[in-house]
Amino acid sequence: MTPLSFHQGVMSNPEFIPQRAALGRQMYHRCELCEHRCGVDRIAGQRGFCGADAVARVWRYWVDYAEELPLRPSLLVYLSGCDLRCDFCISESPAFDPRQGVALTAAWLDNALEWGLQQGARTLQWIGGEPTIHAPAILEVLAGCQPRLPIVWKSDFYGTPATWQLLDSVVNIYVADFKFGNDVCARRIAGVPRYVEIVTRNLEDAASRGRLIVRHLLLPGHRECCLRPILTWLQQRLPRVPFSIRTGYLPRWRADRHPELTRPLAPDEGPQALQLVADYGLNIVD
Amino acid sequence: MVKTAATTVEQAGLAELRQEDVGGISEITILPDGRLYVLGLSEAVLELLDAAGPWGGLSPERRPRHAAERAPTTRGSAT
Repeated sequence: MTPLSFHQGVMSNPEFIPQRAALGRQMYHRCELCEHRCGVDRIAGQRGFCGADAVARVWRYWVDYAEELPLRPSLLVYLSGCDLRCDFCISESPAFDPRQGVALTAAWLDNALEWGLQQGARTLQWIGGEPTIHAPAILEVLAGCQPRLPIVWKSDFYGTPATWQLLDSVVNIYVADFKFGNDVCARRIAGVPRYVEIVTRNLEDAASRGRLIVRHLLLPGHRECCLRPILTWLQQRLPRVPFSIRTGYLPRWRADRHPELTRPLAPDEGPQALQLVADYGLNIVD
Repeated sequence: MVKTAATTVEQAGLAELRQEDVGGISEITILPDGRLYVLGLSEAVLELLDAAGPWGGLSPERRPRHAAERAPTTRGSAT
């Protein structure tokens, strides 16, 4: 495993943040933060596929001790609203309803950071729903806060290149949820087109910009159609990037729309997947 | 499962839908450019719509709905 450290400091370039926040605010006027590219004016209250306006809302936060080793303990800040519609989403309705939660402000974040530090948090992790659809709002609150923890961006990686550029040198570690190994499963289960093309493009971009961890939640019955193509791609394109596989799938939300997703993993599916990952010789992170 | 009726009018098709084809619809989004997102349609309905050509639909690369409409036909009367 490649050790990850934060020797570059809390944020690589915190002086960038106010500029980026201003730029991000402009992007809300014609939103193309994710690849749905709805083009709506979120400042004016228009809503696109994700349903979010210009206010990011926090529906949960806590300090988590079960993240990948380099990240934990991590203060997780969950924002409501998402650009995907994964029927198995463990977060259920708050993930998809951007009206849920309390408005994210600099004062709120300051208090949460204080509490998180008391709990021993070593990183501040933005999570969703999908934080990328709220990137400008997050930059705005970061601009109004004292940077006290390295920033982790846990994302579905369905954002546009302009959004990644906005976050460049602000985010310390990207955690990418690589969910599907093919477009058919992505469209059927998450309602999004061109999934593989977009996510793989963004993964290569993120790997070139800084630290990246790729995570995959193994879905029942999706070892060959999803896990294997993901491993093959990583082996060919990003073989040294830390890879984390999750085998704790539980049927939640609208998983019953898909017969294969109505059950937890069979007892042998997890070990077989772990063996497959090992066979590919990737840089596994626990 | 969708049953496609044999009756056609020019290129238009008629599909008879069953509860399982549309009963899962959970969300409809219409974007300013006319794109239409319908979440929860059955695979059979999606295949039917795909086969019929651009319909707005799930794909950003698809043409907006208004662009897929026919141009108005000019029919003059010889008076």
